[in-house]
Amino acid sequence: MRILTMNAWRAGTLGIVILVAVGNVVHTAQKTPPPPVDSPAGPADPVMRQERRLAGLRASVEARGLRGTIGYLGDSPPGQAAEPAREVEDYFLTQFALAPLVLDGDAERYEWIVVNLQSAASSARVPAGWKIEEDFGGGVLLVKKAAP
Amino acid sequence: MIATAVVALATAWLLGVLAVRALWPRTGPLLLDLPLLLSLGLGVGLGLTSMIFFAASLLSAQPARVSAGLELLLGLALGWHLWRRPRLVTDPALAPARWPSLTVAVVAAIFLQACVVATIVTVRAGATEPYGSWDGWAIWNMHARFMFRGGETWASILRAPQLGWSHPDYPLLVPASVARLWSYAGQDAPWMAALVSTMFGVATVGLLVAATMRLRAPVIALVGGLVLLGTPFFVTFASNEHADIPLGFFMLATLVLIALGGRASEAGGWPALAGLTAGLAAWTKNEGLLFAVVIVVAWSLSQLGRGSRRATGCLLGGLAVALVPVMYFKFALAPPNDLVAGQSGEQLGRLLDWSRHRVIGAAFWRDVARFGDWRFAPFLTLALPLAGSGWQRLNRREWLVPAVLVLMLAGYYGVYLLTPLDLATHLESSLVRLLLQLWPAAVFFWCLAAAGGDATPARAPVKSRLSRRFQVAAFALVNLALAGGVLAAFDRQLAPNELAAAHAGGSKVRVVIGDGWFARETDGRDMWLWSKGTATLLLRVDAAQATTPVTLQFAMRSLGVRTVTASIGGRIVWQDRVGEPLAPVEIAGLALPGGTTTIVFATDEPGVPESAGPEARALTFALYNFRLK
Repeated sequence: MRILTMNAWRAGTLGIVILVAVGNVVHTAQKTPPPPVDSPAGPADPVMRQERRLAGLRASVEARGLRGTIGYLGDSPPGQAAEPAREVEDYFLTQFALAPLVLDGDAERYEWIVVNLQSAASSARVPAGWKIEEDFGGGVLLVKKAAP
Repeated sequence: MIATAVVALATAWLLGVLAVRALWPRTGPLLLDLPLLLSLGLGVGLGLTSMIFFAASLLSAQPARVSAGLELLLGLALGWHLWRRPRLVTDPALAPARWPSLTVAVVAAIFLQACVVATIVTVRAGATEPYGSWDGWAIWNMHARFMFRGGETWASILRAPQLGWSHPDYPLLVPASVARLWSYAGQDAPWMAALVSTMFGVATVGLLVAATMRLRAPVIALVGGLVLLGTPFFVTFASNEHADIPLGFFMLATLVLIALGGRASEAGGWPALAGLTAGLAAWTKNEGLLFAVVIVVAWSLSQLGRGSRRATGCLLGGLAVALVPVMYFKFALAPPNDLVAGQSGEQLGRLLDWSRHRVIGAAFWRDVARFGDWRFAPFLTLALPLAGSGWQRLNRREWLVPAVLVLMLAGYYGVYLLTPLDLATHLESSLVRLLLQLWPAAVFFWCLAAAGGDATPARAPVKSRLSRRFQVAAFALVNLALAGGVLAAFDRQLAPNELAAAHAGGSKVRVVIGDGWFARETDGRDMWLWSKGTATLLLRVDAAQATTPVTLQFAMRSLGVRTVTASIGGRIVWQDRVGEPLAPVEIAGLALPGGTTTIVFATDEPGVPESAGPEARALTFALYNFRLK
């Protein structure tokens, strides 16, 4: 009798566990819609969008044989960003896209600088003494220290 | 490229199965252990091949060739060993499986459908973020790129001070596994990283079910699998290219192997494998180093007085082998860990800072309840079956599972106490993932404790072969039909930027939100979209040829009375006056070419603020409950 009671208890409680798990499986399905449809402006995922945006720059630095560390300039000088979170993310995404190059925010120490602008004008950010080597559009530039 | 990557993954799996089989005690028929061997082999194979690739990438600028050669040698050695070793000694206690009962079949069908759902969800999550979410691309895939693209200098790149934010001291099992696939395929396609990540999720579910089936019974094993698949965070995170799911796999594998060892004679194979998987945990994440220490401590304490020195030696030997690359990486290549480097003697005072204890305790309490991202937190229901007699069946080795989990939680607690980072931020950004790492092992222990010792036999004999075939066919047909229903339900779901989708003339047509709209809003069954002024919808036809004409149906309302015009390519397809009340709209007979057609909605009046507040949106008109026929 006791064994029968234990079996009924076990079957009933496991049934409840199954029901709760199924409810959570359905919830998982409901909260995971298909991926966003890409718009003509580019992929919805910010990483893929930056990958595409920086593809020309990456091909160029590879063709030029650039290795090691080069400079990086975003929309604002370090410590003065209007949207710090967005600009930090832009920097990280650019580093990811251009790996294995290493990008340094202290840009003027290097002969080559990657410029990645979403809002600022290039004239405001390219330092004096550097010239635009290649403009990839959309605020993406490769600049080089001009020969003295 | 796809074939090469799949072959590379299959090679890793095969090597893993051979390695596990080589150490597996020969006490039962191969078929009985096959699910365990396959699940363990998948993770162990990825771990071993990542170590081989890591070594190859240090030795050569073309690591794929060196790695392939080393893998071939390892495969030949393992194959030779398995072929040469003495024949199997069958343990009569391990009888071949009998035919499953109806209860098992029903629970198995539910489990299979949950697997179908989990597969689709995993693919969707991977497609939404192809390189994973933040840590996926900023840490794990970034390091994989250094290995793949960096040539012979990749290790020196990790020491660049500019890359401290990418945690270059993190162990390399996941990056090396991904870089291995990329190197074999010759390109760094994101789906390969997602595939590696997903395989660890698959292996975790398979291992949990197979191990519980081996140690207990099929029903409780399948219920355990359902509990894991019913953890939304586990399923959506599986393809997210972090290292937490792989670490959770190696923790589970270690504890499963220790538990298996408690049932058999003191063969050295399972402890050696447990040591190996604990070492692979350390090769996966820094938390794995803590896990390796905890395993050694917990094992040693459990062996006091009555343990087997041989088993302990085998466990430590397996661990030592797997720790070789970890130690080399940590001491010769990686920069110091930020948590360790930030420590000083003064910070030991934090141990007695009660405000930190309070913050950490509150975070544990909060995140234990929510880390699974559940709709229905399962803890209360999981507690109910524990009121049965299952506890009495737990042996000494199986009690090591909760002991290790408690020690790990204590270790994590201590790390948070001493962290030099901002405590609240550190907890917020990491605790749910740490709990997820432990969750598969916790579910495994629940399965062991909840299983009855005297239940009605879950397997029942069947009289004839014809009857067996009929039952298999019926089971397959029922599951195929159910899977068809699940897939059809998924097909009706809309993407976040879709308004409607339908099949027309053999191709799929989607209405995609274009420019000029505020975010889509929903309330119950109603879905609407306010425009900022002129706004566009994109009509996408997933085929090269034109569709049969389609009809757009929706309702429209406006803030203030205005004229709204819809046009395609400058041709007006609909125009009317729209006011506050919802008015039905139908644009019929639209023949769409293949590709994208843009429909432009324009209005003659400016937007009206929705309220008096400074954050109020200036709204013009809204589309409600879009339908496509």
